[in-house]
Amino acid sequence: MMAFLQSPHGIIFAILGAALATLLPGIGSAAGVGLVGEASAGVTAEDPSKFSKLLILQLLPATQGIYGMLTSFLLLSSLGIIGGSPVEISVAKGLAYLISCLPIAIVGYFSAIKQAKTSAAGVSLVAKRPDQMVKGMLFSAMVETYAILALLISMLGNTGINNLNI
Amino acid sequence: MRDTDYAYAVARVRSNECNLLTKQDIDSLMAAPDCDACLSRLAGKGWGGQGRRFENESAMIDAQCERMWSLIGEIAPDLSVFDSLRIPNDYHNLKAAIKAFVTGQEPDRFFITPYTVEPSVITEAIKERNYSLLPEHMQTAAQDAFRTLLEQRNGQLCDIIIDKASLEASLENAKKYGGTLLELAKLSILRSNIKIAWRCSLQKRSANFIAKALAEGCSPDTAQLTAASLEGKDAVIELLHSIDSGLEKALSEEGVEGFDKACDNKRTQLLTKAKYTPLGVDPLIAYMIACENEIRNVRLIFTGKRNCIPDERIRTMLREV
Repeated sequence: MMAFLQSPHGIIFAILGAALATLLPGIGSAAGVGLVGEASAGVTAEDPSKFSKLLILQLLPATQGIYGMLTSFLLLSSLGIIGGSPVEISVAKGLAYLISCLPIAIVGYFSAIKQAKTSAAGVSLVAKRPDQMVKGMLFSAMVETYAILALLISMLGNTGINNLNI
Repeated sequence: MRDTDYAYAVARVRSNECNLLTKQDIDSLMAAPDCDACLSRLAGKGWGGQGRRFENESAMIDAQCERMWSLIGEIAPDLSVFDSLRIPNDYHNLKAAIKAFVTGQEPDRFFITPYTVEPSVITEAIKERNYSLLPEHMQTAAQDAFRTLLEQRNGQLCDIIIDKASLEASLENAKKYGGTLLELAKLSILRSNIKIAWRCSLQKRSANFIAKALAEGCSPDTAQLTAASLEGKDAVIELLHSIDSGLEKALSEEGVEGFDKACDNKRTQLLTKAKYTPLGVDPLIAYMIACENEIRNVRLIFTGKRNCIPDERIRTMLREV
């Protein structure tokens, strides 16, 4: 077991972590932006003047995808994959990177979906009370908090693991 | 179907909810000197369609109803969800087809929309006595009602057979989807059964007649209602009290008219939660019920104005939207 953990093929797990960090929040954001887009199209069909207000609400669930991409980019960069000179790391370190990517991967996915539902409710709010748009945005932004927390932990984890000697 | 599939539809409905008549609009209609002024004020609100002119309130109300269903037809991902709300129209059309055939009239002008069964199919089924053309839930009722009217010339019994089948078919359909639709179907049966039990108790109808008229599938069951109806109206009120004290109060204090209004208001209350639901079919149902109540209110105002009924009396009959 120890021999496996110390073997120099950890980059596979690190790349898996980077892939998950991009994939899951990306899927969640795409589904979320799509959902709010459908709702926004419904209101715009009745009142095109509300388009700009609705566009802001539609963009809110897109951030999780960006957070996932950012985490992956920094990880791949620190592994030398983006620069074209990949470093050799142990399986133990690779697994640590994978685990460190999980917060943004999982929280990013679910928070994007939940945020989309809150934004869709915000779209209904704008449909009836356009002057209350900021409140609709704030309700949706509250969900964002947890994606930001997950992003912080994933990025701090990856930075810490860079300095680990395992 | 998932709740999220209704995102577009709910957003369209929310936008359209802004066009529902407000309390101020109703006050303005009440203050109108005559029906023409009411028509003009409603036209100003876009009722019946923007820029359209109507000769009378009936045409305007029909256009508004058609508009509501056309919107739902356009935005709903699956229109069959609303079948339990359209099935009563099918049975109305069946009633029209049977009565028109027996009296030798053309049924077309009696048909109403929206429906799930083409009126031409109903007409053909009655003309040809080929009931298999109809949906399964309609076949027995159509045959029984037609025979009753043809052989016994009993229009009331014919109506009773069809109304009962209509309520039971709506309930069966609503069971497929559950939730608010099922609650609404159950409330419709309760409303009809209580009114039948109440009227039968006043007219001293036989147990056989009462049992034939009561629809199955809702509490209190038909045996309890029949027994209460035979005992008298106090027993019906007592039975209703055990189900819903609000409805019982309306029936005992204001009679059938008050009970009807209380049922309409209860239907609106059932949908209060849907006003705050961001996704799913409930906001669409709530919008349809609100539109129906609005149409009923407008009809009441026109009837009141035409018959010089005092404003205070009209106001007591208006439904919550």
